[in-house]
Amino acid sequence: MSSQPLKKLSRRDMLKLLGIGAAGAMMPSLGSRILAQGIEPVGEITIWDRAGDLFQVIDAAIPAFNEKYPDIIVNHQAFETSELAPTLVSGVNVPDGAFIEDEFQGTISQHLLDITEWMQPYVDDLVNYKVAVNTYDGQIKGIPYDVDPAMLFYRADILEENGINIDDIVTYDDLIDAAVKLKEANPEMYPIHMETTPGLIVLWVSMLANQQDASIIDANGELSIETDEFLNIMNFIKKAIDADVANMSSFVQPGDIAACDQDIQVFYPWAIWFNYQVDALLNESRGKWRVAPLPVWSENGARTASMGGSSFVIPAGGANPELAWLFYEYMMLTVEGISAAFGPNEIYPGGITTVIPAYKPAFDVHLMENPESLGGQDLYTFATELVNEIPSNYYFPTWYSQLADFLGANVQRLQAGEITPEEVLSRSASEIRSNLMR
Amino acid sequence: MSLKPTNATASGPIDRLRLWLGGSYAPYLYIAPFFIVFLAFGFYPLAYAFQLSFTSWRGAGIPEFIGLENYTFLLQNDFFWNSIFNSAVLWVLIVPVQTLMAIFIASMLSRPLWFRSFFRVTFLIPYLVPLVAIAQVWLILFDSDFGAINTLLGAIGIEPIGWLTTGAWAKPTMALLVFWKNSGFAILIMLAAIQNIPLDVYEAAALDGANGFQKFFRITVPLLRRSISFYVIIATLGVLQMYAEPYVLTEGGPYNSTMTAGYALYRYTQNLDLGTGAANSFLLMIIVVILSAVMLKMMSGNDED
Repeated sequence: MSSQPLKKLSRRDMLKLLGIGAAGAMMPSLGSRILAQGIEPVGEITIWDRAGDLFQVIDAAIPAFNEKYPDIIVNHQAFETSELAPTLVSGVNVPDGAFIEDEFQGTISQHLLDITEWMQPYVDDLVNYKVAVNTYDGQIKGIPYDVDPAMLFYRADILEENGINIDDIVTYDDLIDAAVKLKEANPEMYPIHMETTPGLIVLWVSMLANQQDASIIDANGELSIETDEFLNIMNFIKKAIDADVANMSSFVQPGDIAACDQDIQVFYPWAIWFNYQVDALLNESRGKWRVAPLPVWSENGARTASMGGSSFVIPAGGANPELAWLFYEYMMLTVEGISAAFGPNEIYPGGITTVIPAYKPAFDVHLMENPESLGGQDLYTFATELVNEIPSNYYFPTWYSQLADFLGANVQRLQAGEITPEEVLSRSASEIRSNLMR
Repeated sequence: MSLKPTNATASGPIDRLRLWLGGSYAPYLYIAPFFIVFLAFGFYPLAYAFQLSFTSWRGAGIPEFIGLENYTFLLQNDFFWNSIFNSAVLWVLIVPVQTLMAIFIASMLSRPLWFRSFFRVTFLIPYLVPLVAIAQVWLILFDSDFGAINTLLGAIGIEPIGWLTTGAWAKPTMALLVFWKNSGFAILIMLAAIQNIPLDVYEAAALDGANGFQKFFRITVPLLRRSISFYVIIATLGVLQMYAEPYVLTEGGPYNSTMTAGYALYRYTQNLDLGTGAANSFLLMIIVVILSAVMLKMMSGNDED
């Protein structure tokens, strides 16, 4: 730490620092540059984090940040994420930094600071997908928090009892075949989870599209759901329903929990955060679940995808964006900070087991204990090895949050047998164009 | 500055203003706080939203004036009309039956009755329980595979019903939740009104030979018409603005069959489509004003009778 007298970091200082481009290029980060200039960052920042465990985890990690930056006071506040957009629009009490789910970032991207230059030294150290979904019009607008790789959760005990080897489930057709085999031996089973909540349907379909290197819109912002990749997904849904192996339920809802605990659901293709349900909500089947890579859509296709994920953003209207950046730089872009936020702590003594960080150097540190909910399987190693397969060619439209009313509703119609897979896509495309892209 | 009436002649503009105001500023100063607060937090947001309804704006940059486009879009939009239709169906399922039932129960509870206090409290409890908690109970009770309702129906040979997962049943199931939760409030209003009916009216009717049925329909119901109108207006507003119920129970599904007018409005604002959201809110306001005016007219018509 510098022994220079404390000096407040003003915007002018910041501009000077940023102006020293060549010198800066030799240094790994803005924080290092500030310290190299003998300017001690001083000030107060207001940071909003989602109420609940995330807030608690980050709150517990703030003392570690203050060891490095003792003169930055962090006013840490819990908030409901839906509060961020109206706050940014009103411009009143805008925080210096805030948490946001990736799929909703596009809606507010115009209110966010372009942090491309600050992020540049770290881009290669981040999971590519996370950089892509934090980039709008060529500008990086968010600091990745977590990446949520999708995987196939399955009941190891039931597969073993029925003579099914998980390694034999390579494609989605194999998955349905295995489910049919289970159903034949156990008529009460509906082995494959089929999500029914409109918002989660969209997230789930997006994940299955991402696995095929496709997304709702393409790089030019054009709607791209009337494609073979999306048709594959709709056909899979229909095939599973027609084979009577799909369990219609909603994640974390009572019916879904009962279906898991009563040996009705066996396969749950979902993001890593399904482990929350296994760990916290399941009683009978906790410890009997395991994870495997997703089945593939084609030979040599990706075995995972992203489902969900979150980041931190620095609003353009915040009072101290530079100090907020230092906060996130430490928390999310250093192994030390990541360890404090994701590793064992008071809130999660075994580390967080529902997400993994997006900062790849942290993959070398085993940040979570092998969860008992998965019978002691090494989830961290499994997930961190899998995560590099997530296709990065993905774009969230600014109207993603309203997709549930159209794509989500039409998939529900498919689940009810009212329309065909092709009609889901044509009808959704028409409704999206007339309602959301007008 | 004098706050007292004065007989001074109007020699200057201030004096003339005071005279125009009735000779004293005081009454106006007393009511000024309300108007200041109303202008700041009532009128201004309303006027701003009205202005927004003629623009295309996603919360950043300068709103682009697009005239009546948001209104014409909504009036030709299936999603908007579907939400109005859903709210209308919910109104039919909830408000008439709930109002009649509230009058009947309030009438019962106003009589000498064993455990009357117990029943009064019991009917009010659902109204006091947080909606999210009730919604969780509903999800457990009405789960198509594991819910208690289908289990009971199964015991008498009835096939499982997709209470919250089929378009035919989702609205009635949600209506039942609202009915159960809010009936306590309706009963409370009716009970207060019934207790204001003078007992001698009933005594006079009894002397004239009226039975209980006649007393209820010839005395109780007519004398409750103001309270009934009040409750129906409040309930209608509640149904049109209903947002939390579909949000926690169905997210508007299945296939938007529980997408209420209030929840549809929320979806536009959540997506920061603020111009369309503002236009949607004013169309809803027009509907509410028309419905309220009709009900008030009916009430005043009864008064003239």
